[in-house]
Amino acid sequence: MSTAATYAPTALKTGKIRVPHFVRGRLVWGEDTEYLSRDFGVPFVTPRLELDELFVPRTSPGPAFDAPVAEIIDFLVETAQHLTLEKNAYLQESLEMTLRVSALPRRIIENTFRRPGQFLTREALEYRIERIFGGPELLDGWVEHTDPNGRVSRVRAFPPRLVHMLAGNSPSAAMTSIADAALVKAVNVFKMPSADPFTTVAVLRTMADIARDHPVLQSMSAVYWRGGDAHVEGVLYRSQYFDKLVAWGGGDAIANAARYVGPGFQLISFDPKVSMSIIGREAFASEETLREVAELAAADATIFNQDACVAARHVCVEGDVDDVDRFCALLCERLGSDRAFASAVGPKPPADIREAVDGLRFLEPGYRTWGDYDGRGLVVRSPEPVDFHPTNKTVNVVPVASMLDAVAFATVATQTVGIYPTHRKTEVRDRLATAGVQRVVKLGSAFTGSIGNPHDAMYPLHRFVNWVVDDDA
Amino acid sequence: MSTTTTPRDTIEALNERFQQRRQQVPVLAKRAEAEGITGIRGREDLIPLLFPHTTYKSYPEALVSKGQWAQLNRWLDSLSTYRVDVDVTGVENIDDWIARLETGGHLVSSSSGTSGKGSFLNKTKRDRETSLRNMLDGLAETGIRPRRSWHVIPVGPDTGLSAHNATRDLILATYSRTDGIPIPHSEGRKDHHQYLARIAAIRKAMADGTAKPDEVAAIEADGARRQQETEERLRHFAKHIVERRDEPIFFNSMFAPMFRLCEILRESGVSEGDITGENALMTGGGLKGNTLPADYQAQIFRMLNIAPARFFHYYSMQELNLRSPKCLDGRYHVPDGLLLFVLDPDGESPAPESDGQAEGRAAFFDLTIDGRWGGTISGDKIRVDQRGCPCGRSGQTIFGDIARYSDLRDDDKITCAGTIDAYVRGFVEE
Repeated sequence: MSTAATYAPTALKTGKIRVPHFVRGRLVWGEDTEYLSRDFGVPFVTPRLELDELFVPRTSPGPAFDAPVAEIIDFLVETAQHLTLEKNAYLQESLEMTLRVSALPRRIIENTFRRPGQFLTREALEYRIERIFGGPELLDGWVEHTDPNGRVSRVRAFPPRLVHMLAGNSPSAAMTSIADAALVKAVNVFKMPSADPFTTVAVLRTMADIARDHPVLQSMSAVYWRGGDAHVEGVLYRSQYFDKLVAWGGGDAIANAARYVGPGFQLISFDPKVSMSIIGREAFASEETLREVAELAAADATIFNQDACVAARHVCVEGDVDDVDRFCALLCERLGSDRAFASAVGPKPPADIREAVDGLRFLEPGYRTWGDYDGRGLVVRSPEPVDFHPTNKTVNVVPVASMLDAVAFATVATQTVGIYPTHRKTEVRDRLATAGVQRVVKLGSAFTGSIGNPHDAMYPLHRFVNWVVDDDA
Repeated sequence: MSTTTTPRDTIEALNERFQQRRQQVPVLAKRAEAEGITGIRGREDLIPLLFPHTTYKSYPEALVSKGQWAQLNRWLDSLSTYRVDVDVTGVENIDDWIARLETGGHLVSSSSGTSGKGSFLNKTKRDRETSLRNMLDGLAETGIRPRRSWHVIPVGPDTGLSAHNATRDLILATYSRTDGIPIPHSEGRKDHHQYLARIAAIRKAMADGTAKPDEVAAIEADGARRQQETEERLRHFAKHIVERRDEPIFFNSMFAPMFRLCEILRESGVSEGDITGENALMTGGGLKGNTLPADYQAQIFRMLNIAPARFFHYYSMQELNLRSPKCLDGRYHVPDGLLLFVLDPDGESPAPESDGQAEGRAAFFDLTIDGRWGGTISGDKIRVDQRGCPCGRSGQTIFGDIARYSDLRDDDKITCAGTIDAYVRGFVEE
């Protein structure tokens, strides 16, 4: 990719970040509307929204409806080869702009841009289609079945019309969302987050340089408007325009959008989540083991400096208080190291944590704390989960008599539970799932994962498509 | 007084208070040590030592739900000037705990947020007396004379809280005529905190997944019954107001119940102008999250014939003893003895000032506070003018449009990281 950015990322006159829109293969610049970014209130400007341009009307088939899955995979695989930060001017530009609005440091954002590679190989994409749809046939056409009464029908996983409200706490989500939307051949509008209104367009520009007229790109628009803006959402969020609202995360913007859900306009919600870890008494087998376990627990707790649903916030440890305190001390030490997706010194914990922990410091020995409010890491041991929301590398450790006791602290808001030792997952996984948990992993692996698995208790692509039947009965 | 200059003697008084309190209030000692502050040489030295209002609810909720009163004593002690060494043997619930502490001279004041978790502030008899004296002075200054010539109507629900009772009794003793409108006979609720604790407990049980549907139904029915009692109280007052429509009535109320009272009067056929007594109103604070029509104050004034000159409207909070009274030009005047800080939204450094005005998070140091450290960072967003007021008086004034930061949420923040709060619906106290 040799195309240097033709436009300077910031407008010379205003000093504000210019955010382009991507509208069905076309890049659109403009300085019509000004907004503020989520975390630092950095001003950015966007072009005016031309709602009619964003997607083809329901009266005609989507541009990619008849594109074979194999061709789409070819396109995505080729795109992935160009999504290398070092060689891609769009990603570099996006990185620089993201740095100005993101709470994460350069090194971590760079690592994030490198991440999607493993998900966007031919093998990975074909495997996912195989796992979710049993192959490309249901997406590419009508698959015939005969029922026990001899009646014949044909089913197609028909391409949907989707509006995606992207979350702003991980640039890689933009890349995977585009791939998912492409695989199901959907008509898509991506509502970009104010914390990262750049990466989605950077990926789409990369794709446009490969094949500007590709039907997949003709099906995609990525634009920004302020979440909750009734002038946009009140108009767009209708069943006549979209089948489904794909909501990545939570917050008032999603709650607001969900008000438009009704007959024919469904919500596919990746709910806001918390995660936890459960550590068995095996961790205390030796000092060395305990150090390793503390390192694994720290790895899970610090993902994106704990601004992610998969990052553990509570750790239940099987053992007596003295043992658990030894673990806490080691954990606190491990929280303070640089990792691929975490900083040794991250953003400081918010004031409410400081207030709550200052209060607990006077309640020893029932409560005990390690570390400080300097962003290196804070560990709070308490007899039951604390009232405050542990964040910015704050971990709440709760001693339990047995792993099963820890299940009581899992709720409908719990997403991932990391367990040590791995073989004891079987002891608690049914009980955790009963409580509402959706993912059980080995301790230290919260951020990795196998390909083709459910996410938030569903197969998202399966939910995206419209299951349509042609019945001869 | 501006945000940047404070008289030398005030700084000296602040330093003296700091030196004294850091020997007494453990959290202050720890905070000062962490910030490396050994003395107050200017206003800015105080900023890192101001306690956010949430400090007073920093205890683990489990201490209340599990009845660990001795531990709750230790927590309260860490924020108190005078040691909390009250025996808690036999204390069974949170109302018992508060009553027991009161016997030991700790007049614990509390309030609750929407989560139901209450804050607890240790006050002394001196704090209470200072606050009540300040109230009477403010009323007198407004022009509401301390004569026993009024019908006194404490509009809001009877909480049974000793601080509320003390205020009500003082107002009755100072202003009420002997044949005044009767205040509904109430046994005086003894379970205010317990009720709030129950709401907090059911909320937590719902979050944990252990709340049973019948428990939820019961607490919702209880809430509805309390709402009904409040409604009946308002109807009782409405009836008597109509009967004594040309006699002076002194209302003591927040705006929301006052507005509801006007609605009830209107529903029972009373029109604006029907009530002709020269009535007065004392109210502190704003709407507390209630939504009322934009002209709610004008509607209340017209219906109940309250003139601005008979309206004592002040800005204060339970963290303060002193009130900032509102003038006829609609600004709150910060009194002597109360230092106002306008901070950035995070409450960490002074908000920028331009043309003598600043906007930001309100924080205070109340020199009259006895039972605690007097420095507080509030949850309020305010605008302040350092250059005096159109009403002619000098000094700092706070504009009338005070908002709560918690009501000004960023509605465009989307993140996959959430909390159980998004999954729990309902259970807000009355």
